[in-house]
Amino acid sequence: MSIIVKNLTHVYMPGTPFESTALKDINWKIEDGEFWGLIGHTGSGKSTLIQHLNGLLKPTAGEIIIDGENLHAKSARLKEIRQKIGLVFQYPEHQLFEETVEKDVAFGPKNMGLPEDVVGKRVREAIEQVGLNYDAVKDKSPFELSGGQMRRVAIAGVLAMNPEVLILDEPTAGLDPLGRDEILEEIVALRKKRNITVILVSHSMEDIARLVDKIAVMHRGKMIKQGSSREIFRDYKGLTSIGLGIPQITELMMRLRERGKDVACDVLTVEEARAEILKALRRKGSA
Amino acid sequence: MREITIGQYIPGNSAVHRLDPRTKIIVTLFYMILLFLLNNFQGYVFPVAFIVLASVLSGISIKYMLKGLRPLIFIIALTFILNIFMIKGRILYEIGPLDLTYEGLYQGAFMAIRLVLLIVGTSLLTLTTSPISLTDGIEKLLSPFKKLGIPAHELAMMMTIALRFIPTLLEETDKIMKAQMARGADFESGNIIKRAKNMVPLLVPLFISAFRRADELAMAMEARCYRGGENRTRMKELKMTSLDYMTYVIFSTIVLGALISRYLW
Repeated sequence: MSIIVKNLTHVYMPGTPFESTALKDINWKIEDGEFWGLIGHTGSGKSTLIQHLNGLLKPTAGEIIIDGENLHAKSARLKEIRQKIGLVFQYPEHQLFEETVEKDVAFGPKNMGLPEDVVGKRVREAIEQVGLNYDAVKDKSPFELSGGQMRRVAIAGVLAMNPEVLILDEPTAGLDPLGRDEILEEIVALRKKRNITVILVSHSMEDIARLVDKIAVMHRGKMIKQGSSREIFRDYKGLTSIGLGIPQITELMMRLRERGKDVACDVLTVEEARAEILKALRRKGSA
Repeated sequence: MREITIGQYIPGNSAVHRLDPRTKIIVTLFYMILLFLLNNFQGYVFPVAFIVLASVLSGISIKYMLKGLRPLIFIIALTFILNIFMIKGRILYEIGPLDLTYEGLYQGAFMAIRLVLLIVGTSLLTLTTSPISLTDGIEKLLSPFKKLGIPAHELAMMMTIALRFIPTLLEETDKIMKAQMARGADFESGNIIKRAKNMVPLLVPLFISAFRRADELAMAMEARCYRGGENRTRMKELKMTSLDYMTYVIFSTIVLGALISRYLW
């Protein structure tokens, strides 16, 4: 499923003293199966942008084309598109409402009008995919669960609709390190298994560097950069000047290089850095 | 939902914004009384002059103030229509059993304008006064009645908190609505019963979060040793300035003019 964003502009509350331009002339192309990271300072327009991708917000100008179909044409079937493009909001556990976990996860597929048995199957799959024990939690009230478990249930609620594109707005905000790693691992596993497109909004440069292939950078409503993670994180000065950073390990390598060590500085993970440093040491040893 | 402008505050630093909230409340109160004392069209010159003056001084356009009328158009139209047909007098036109009278038309227009002026004039108060200073003003104005057992401080605090949470709850509603829409929820179609049922996925999370917020707020207030109004001092003491006295003089002139006009015109 490809998503093309063309010259997208969004203005909140136009014609009032509170008018503010949240998005300015955004162009973005998301191909089938890609794993994107969307980064930017708080208030840079990330959330506004992703809400356009499944038609929750209407652009003030510009258009969004999904598989060749204009999202804002009168003929667009928004319900179908929202099912194909699953959007997990920030703190999704705040949207839980049913008496049991099973019923809550079933809300999405039921709205799609699927038959009972298919809904049941999808609910089980989705709950297991987020790493919960289906039989143990299905009859519990979602409000008895821990914060991390609630979040998983909420994510399962979106997964149960079998989306082809999954957009996650800071899925790990407010979780402990273990819970954070588990959720991210589940996303990676899910992506491998179902081969879906994923867009991850995050403030953690470490997570972004470790997981995604491509990064889009937002700043004050504009998309100022997009490209492979390596390209993006090479620009240390540019990123810090807009209040963002680069992964600590990338920064370490940059500092080593500044001190005259012969290492490549576009590494993204600790493993890569280790290999790079060992290589440099060996070169030094043999010289 | 963001279309509603009644009760909205537009930040600014104009002369009207800087007035003591007590002045603005008192003036608004007398402005309302004045509207009901006027008995002919010519008299409306005075409140209109007052609104125009306030608009110029506060920098808030009359067009924006009129936006506040939108949700109330129905009530204004109803008043107009009822008056047209219910008042007996010289008949201009007959529609079935209903008589359109000259007096009715006059009275209908008179009432409709009164309502419009009422809404626009009172919205000026909230447009130019932040909720915090508004409740401060109410607290101060009510404090003489403490002896009669009216808990002025507590009332004002409750109002402050309620006002403070309106935008938060609106935002929350918007967010939850979108989250459920992303899961295929439908808030727009169906008959009344179906629609009410469809609101459950919105209302349950909204109530839960409202209670959670209330709980957190109570805790935070206690952690900062809040224990009611007794012996409480404030950071910003309300103070009447020459600006306020000038306002009273100008407003009294308008009221006097209006009262005299009752007998002259």
